[in-house]
Amino acid sequence: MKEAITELAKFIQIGARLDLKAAALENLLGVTATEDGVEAIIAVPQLLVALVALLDDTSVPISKDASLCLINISADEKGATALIDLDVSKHCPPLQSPPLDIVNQALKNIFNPESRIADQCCMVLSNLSRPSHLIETVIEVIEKNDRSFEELINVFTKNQYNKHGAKLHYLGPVLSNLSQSHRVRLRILDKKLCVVQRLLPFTEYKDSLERRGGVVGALKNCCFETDFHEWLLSSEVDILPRLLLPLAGNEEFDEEDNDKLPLELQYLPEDKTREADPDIRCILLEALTQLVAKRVNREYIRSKNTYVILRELHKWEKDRKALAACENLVDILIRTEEEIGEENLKEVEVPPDLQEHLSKLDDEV
Amino acid sequence: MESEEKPVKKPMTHEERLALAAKLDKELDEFIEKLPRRKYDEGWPEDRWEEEMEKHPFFMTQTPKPGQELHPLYEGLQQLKYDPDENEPEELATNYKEDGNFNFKHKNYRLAVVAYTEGIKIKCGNPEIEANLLNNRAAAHYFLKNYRSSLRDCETALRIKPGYDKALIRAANCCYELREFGKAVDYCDKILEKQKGNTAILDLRQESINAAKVKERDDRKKEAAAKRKAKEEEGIINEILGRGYNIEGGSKGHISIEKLEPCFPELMHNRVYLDASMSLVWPVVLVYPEYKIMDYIQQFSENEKFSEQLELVFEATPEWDEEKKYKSNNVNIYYETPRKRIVNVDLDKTLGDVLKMKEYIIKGGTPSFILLAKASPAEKRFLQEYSR
Repeated sequence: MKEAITELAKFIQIGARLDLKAAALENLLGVTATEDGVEAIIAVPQLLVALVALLDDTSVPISKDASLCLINISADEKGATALIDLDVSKHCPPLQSPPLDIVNQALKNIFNPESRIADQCCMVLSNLSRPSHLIETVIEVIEKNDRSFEELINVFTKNQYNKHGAKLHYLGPVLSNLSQSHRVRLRILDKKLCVVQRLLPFTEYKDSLERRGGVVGALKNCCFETDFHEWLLSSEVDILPRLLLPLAGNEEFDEEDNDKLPLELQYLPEDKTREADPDIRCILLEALTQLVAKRVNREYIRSKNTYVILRELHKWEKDRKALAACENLVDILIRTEEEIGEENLKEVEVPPDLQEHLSKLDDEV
Repeated sequence: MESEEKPVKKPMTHEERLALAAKLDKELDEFIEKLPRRKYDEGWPEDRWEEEMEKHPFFMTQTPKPGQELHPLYEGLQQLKYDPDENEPEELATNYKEDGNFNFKHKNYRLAVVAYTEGIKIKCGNPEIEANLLNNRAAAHYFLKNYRSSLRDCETALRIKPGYDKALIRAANCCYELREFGKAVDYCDKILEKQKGNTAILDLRQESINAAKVKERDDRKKEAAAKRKAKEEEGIINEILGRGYNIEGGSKGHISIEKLEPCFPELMHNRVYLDASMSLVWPVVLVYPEYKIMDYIQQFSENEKFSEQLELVFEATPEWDEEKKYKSNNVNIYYETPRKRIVNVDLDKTLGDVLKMKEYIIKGGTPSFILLAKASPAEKRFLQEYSR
């Protein structure tokens, strides 16, 4: 296979004849569909560079096919690593100048409103940011780029940024993946700019699971920054209702209960449905569980009548993991502060034997 | 002909020049001396000089009020300033703009609008000036609380000069005041693209979002209340249909809620309703033909007997009851049928029993009954009318 693939490399150089390029790419696309195929391809770095360069090809079908190949290759963890580690100048095919590295190529297309392969580049970036050992590298490349995370989120949250129909939904998973880094979280939680606030409306975004899930994941990760909890719960951000809204159904509450709820959750109409994906429901509950770590925030969240929403959710919920997460959270909310006794649940010291016992129980779930 | 010798002009000597100058000076002095002497009286009178100065266009400190007599110089200056023949369009437009700005500074916003409007009408062709005029007029409108006009001017200015910061900011504020919070946020976002850390705009954005939340909640609350009301009304109508009551204006399968609205102002708030035990509770009017009086019962449950209600009605003797004969055990209740018959009501029956009667029609959402004292002359007269 290796010889065949090396042969193909000749035809997909950027200056090659269009019909040959197209045919070769089509072939290659088929190869990228299998794990063995990807392994064979990444053994030929020149081929990878050629593909990355073809993202700049003036012919739209060519650049599209190249992007699809890269999506498949990056979906494979070894492929992703190979692409990130790729030295574009060293393995550049002859008779062409080296392209930018894969991350920068992807960003270039994402930030270009005229790009026809923006969505595909989002998917590539999403794949590249998934393996945990690659996250830091991807972040570093993005930071060195003259566009910031804030601009990336801007482009993600702007309505119809791309002029050719690309929705950029897959930037959701990108954000979710990259927000595993503390540095990125600090960028998202910038108090002087409007960053995290732009993500909030998308917790209810019906048209794309990737976008919605990505945003919820990023928000959950941000909730691990305990220092920012008060600000997140304040009216400057007001994250609580956005986390609760997907968990609320159309159950009617009396006026007394309604008035205590956050505004967005009051008098919900008959046709209100809950988040359909149980994993996302879990993530929302996990985010809320983070926010109740400190006593002052627990009291605030309790005062917003969060309990009734969770109570109704518990009656409706069928997924085991989500039920457990719900019960866990309700448990903390129901208990009085005397019972809890701790200002910050995260600072509780769990004795080692209890730790062992608890992790055994967790494994059983 | 003899040629004349032209005298050769000798150049003047210095002394001759001085002598000539002295001679001319002397002649001028003599001339001035000979001029008639008059006192200068075209100046301002001494005692009113401040008043006169105030009227002079060069020295006035306030804009002339309408109706005030204008100094002739003023009109001249105006012509100079505003005459299209004297001024280039751009100059003219700028003049109007400055006028507008002057008025604006002195908080005469309406006059400012007028001035800016004149400037805009000129269509001077310079986009900077035109956008500026529109933006300034937008500002004047804003202070006059004409938010829609202000927004319109901002939008026009932005068409001429996209990205015009001042216009964007004002547009955002207008949208907020007009409670178009989504548009306000959009304008804020446009501004934030260029001025990322602008705290005033960040605040406005968040305030718009919060205000939108309140508005949406209020809309949902209204919607919920309307739905509840509709359901309640439907319930009442179904019960009435189920019991087979005859409602004036209603048909066999359908009654509209309007037909159940009490027609008497005194019973305005007492439209029929379903109580907790699923009984209909009606407003009822009692008519006393003897004294041409009407009395109102606000809540008469269909399960209550007439005798029970009468106890309440005649607990105290009504003031119009001259002969003190209307008592709970001394009245007859009647109702009139569509065929103009009069029917006596058995006091032991409930309201529901009577309403069920085929010939009982509920009019104006209010069952009505006629009351007369037993065996009274009035009763005799009344009944006679019907036996004819």
